[in-house]
Amino acid sequence: MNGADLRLTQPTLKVLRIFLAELGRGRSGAEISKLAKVGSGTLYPMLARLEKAGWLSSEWEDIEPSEVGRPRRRFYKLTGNGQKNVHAAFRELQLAPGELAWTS
Amino acid sequence: MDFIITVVITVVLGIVCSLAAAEFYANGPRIAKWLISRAVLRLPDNARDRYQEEWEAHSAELPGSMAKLQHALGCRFRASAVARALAGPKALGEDELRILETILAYYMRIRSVPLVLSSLLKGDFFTIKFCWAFFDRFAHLCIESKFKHNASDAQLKAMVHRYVQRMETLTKLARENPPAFEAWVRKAIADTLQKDPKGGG
Repeated sequence: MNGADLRLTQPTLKVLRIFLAELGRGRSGAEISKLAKVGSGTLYPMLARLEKAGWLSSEWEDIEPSEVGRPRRRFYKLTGNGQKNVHAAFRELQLAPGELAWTS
Repeated sequence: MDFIITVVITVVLGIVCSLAAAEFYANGPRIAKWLISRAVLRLPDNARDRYQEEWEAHSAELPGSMAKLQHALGCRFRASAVARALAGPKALGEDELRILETILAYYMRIRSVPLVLSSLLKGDFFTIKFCWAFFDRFAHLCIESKFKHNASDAQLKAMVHRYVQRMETLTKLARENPPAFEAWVRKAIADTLQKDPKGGG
C-alpha cells in the first residue's frame, strides 16, 4: 500500500493533526482516541492503514508488564515520509494543518 | 388486589434488573477482555499477539466498565477492517471498474434531471446528448484515476472541481450563446477524433 491509497477522511485528518502538534512524540492508541475523539473501531483500522502506508511507525513501550502490572502500550509516531505526505495532503486540500481537524 | 400485585411485580423486577446491571458492570473488564480475545481471532496470525496486548493496554487506560466495553466492542466489530488494512488493498478487476463507471455516470444523469427537463421543454436534445457524453467521460476519468492510477482523494477532489467549473462554463455558454457552444463541441469532437480515430479517447 502506498500513500495514494489512503482515504483522508475527517477522522484521519484529526488524528494526523495530533501527530503534527508534537512531532517526534510517540502516542498510544488510548491517547489518540481521547484527543481526537475517535472510537477504537475507527481508530485502529486507520492506524493500521497509516502504518502500512509508511506514514506512521510504532514501537512498544519500554517497560516490563509483570513489574508494572499492566500490558505494554504501543506508541505511534509520524515518520519522515509521513510528515512530508501529511503536509502535502493539507496543501492539496488548501488548508493549514490545524484548520480542518476540529470543524466537525 | 391488582394494585398490590402490580407494585410487587414492579419492585421485584426493579431489584432483579439492578442486580443484573450491577453484575454486568462488575464483570465489565472481564467481558471486555473476552471480546478482545475474540476480536484478535479475525486478524492474521502474525498480528494477533500484538493487537491483543495493544488493545488490552488501551482498555487498561480507560476508566469504568462501560468505557472498556465500548472499546472492546469497537475492536470486536472492526477487527475485520484492521485485518483488511494489514492485508493491503484488493485491486479491482476491469468489470468492477466498468460497473462503478456506469453507476457514477447514471448518478450524474439523475442529478441532471432538472437540466434535462428544461432542455427537453426547449426541444434542445443537443445539450442533453452533450451532457450525457460528458458524464460518461467524466465517470471514466474518475474511476481510472482513483483505481488505476491511485490518485489521492485530494487529487480527485481537485479534478472534480476543475470538471465542475468547466461544465458550468459550458452550460453558461450553451444557454447564452448556443451557436458558439455548438461550435466548441464540434471542435472538441474533431480534436478527439484527430487524436484517436476510433473516437474512444
